[in-house]
Amino acid sequence: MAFNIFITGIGGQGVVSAGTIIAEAALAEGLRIRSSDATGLAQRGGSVHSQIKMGDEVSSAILHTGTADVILGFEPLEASRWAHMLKPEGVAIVNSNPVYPVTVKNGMLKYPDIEEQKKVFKERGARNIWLDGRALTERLGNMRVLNSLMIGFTAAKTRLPISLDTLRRVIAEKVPGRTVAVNLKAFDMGYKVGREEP
Amino acid sequence: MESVVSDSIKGAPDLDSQELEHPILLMGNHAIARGALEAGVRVVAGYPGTPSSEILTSLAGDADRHGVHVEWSTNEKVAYEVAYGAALGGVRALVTTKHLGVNVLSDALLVSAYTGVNGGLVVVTADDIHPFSSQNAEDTRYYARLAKIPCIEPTNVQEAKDMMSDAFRISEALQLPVLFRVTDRICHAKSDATLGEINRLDREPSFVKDDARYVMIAPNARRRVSWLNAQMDAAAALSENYPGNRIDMADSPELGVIASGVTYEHTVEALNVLGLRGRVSVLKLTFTNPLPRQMIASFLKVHRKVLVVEEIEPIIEKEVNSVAHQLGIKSKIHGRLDGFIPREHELTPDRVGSGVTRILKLDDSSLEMPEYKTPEMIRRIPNLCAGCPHAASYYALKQAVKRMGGGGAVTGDRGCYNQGTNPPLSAIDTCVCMGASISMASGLYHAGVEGPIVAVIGDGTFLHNGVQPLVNAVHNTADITVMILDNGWTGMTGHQPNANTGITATGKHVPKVSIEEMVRASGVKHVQVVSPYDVKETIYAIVAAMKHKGPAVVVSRQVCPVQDHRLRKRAGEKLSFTRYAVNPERCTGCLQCVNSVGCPALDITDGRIKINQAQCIGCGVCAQVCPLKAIEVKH
Repeated sequence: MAFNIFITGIGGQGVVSAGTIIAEAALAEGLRIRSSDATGLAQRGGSVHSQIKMGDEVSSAILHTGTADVILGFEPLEASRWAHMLKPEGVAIVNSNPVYPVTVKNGMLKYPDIEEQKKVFKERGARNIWLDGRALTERLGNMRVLNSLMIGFTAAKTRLPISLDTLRRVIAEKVPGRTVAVNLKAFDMGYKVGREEP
Repeated sequence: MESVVSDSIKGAPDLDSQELEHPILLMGNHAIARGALEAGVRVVAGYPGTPSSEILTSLAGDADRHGVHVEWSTNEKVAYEVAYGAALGGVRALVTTKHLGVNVLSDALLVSAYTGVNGGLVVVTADDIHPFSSQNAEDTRYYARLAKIPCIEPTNVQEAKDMMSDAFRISEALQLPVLFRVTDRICHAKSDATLGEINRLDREPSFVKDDARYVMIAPNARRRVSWLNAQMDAAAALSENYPGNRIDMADSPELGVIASGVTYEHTVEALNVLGLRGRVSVLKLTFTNPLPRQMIASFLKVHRKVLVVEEIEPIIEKEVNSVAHQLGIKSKIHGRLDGFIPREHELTPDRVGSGVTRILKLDDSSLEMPEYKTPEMIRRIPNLCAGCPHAASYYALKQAVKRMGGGGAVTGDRGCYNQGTNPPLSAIDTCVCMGASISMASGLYHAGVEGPIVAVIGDGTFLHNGVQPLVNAVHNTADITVMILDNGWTGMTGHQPNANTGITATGKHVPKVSIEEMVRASGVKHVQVVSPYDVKETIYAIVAAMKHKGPAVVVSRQVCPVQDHRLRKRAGEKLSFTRYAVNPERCTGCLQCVNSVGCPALDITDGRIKINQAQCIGCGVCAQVCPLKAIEVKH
């Protein structure tokens, strides 16, 4: 058994935190872990990703191209950038709210059209599911729980080999004390939305 | 965007963990720190540098409890000399650095190999070999060969911890410093890992005088070089028998891969994904200087074809070729030298797998390698944070240069502020190595380049290696302007304290060094301290410094808001900021604010500027920059 997740987004969105939660939860399920984070310029709004392998036998902290079961994209452009990591039978879960680089804001570059980005995944033959993370977290009154929401959604939509109880327990352990309740709410909401959507 | 979420996670494994039975999730840098504690380290010194910084940061948190001295030193050479001194005193000592720091400490390293050490001395070098966030991609394993010291390259997080103890033992067995070489995929990797007991070697430190050994004047050095060569012969025997050097024989081997460090794990991963485990043997190398030449020879003898994978230079590959040549072994040796492995950049399972299949395909055309198209997407350039004082300093600098008639050059240095090269700031013309801004500016001045010559350097970098260039500029009368961007912290690498912060690595409050007093003591006659948030004053100060005959310094001082806010929040303070808003009747959407400072708190919706209140910290720079006074304080 092996299950690979590639989480991607920009600094400050909670990408690395989500990776840590998933890796800790997988470890708690008795799986072995290889994971690596690329956070070079995270504090400066740069691209960030976290890749996690879990299974009975794992090697290398870098995924081989085409072996991710799930791409968890916290930002559209950052998700599409890594589409080649996905298995053809894999699934991309993408938060649909773009964060524009300053070079897009001042007109130097054009942000790629969302429909074009969806095509990138279709070309790989992979499913891609988009959700409006901002609208959902606004309902919870806290924009900083996107990662818990995305994990909940992933638990509903994929064959993530981690029980809901374990995920909830690890989230409660890992997030700051005063935000445990809202993070668990976000996780439950993500899971519920994931179950309800076709 | 500030990384509040990732900072608030309680994910860092406790170095004190008593969980010895079950594996815990461990980050590579924490594994190295834990390994040092398990080995009984007493003195730790380093300088921050990605990807090495968390090794020392995590040790600092537990230093007092474990009776370990942990310090951020002024630079890597100082760090090395502190640790070396401790090792001469008989205790185990650790140095942490990124690859560029090895260049800095190499002066001491090469001579210290002649005297040797008493307590174990291990230098962890975290090589950014891609590079992801460095000026170059360097293979520090050359230094192990240059200095004639052993080199250990762990292949994963567990080994990074376990092999620290090995490295200290090897160091003491040979009386030599050991280079412990890791890369980003160890440092910032996380893995399940099993911990060992933390060891307190209760050794009595002592220094036994021995001038023939420790006073490296030429006659003594001539004797010690023979000793050093003999120690390296002994090291070769250790390497042959080191359990971390191992052959995994395939059932029916068509190819042998020789892999060191993390590339061993990439090789295993690639062979698994491609289903080639049964056809390809692997020689795993972790003790890589000196190499186990006999083991390599025996591997070559049973593999007609060999692929050498390593990061980032073909060092082992050349030595494998030399073994084959020496013994007349006819195996075909592939690697970076003949292009079967790409010449540059980090290796991945893909890149190793591609090399393996290309070689096997020479005999087996049925072998298909899946192809993957990488989507082409625009690059997301990193930017300075919302309200970053560096952005304001750069705006003022560009205005000052314009007022002086343009031309000249802005030599930059290493730190967050080298993001000032990116649009829209595009404010610096060079970035080479720590402290080079000031000396290069001097050179440009002496060459006779017209226009204002300005060096831009941060406070940490100035203390690291900028003081001597400034003394030199004064002594040799370079008419340059030096801007010291003083935000009080070594920011780029994760806000470590430096001598200008007034806090030590372990959090003790100590007197600050005064930058302006150091500048004056260097002989600089024109020194002015400004806040870059006062745009006009900063422009005036820079213009005045440029007009001054002789070297002049502007200290642009504003504490890093990211760190300042983090610490104040941690202390329970409720932060409030001056709120700014765009007056839509005045704003014409000229984008001057965005193009002047590129603040990420400036959003654009339908051609109109809006201030993102979640990000804005109220520095007021955009309001000062707006030509139409359209950005106003919100009451």
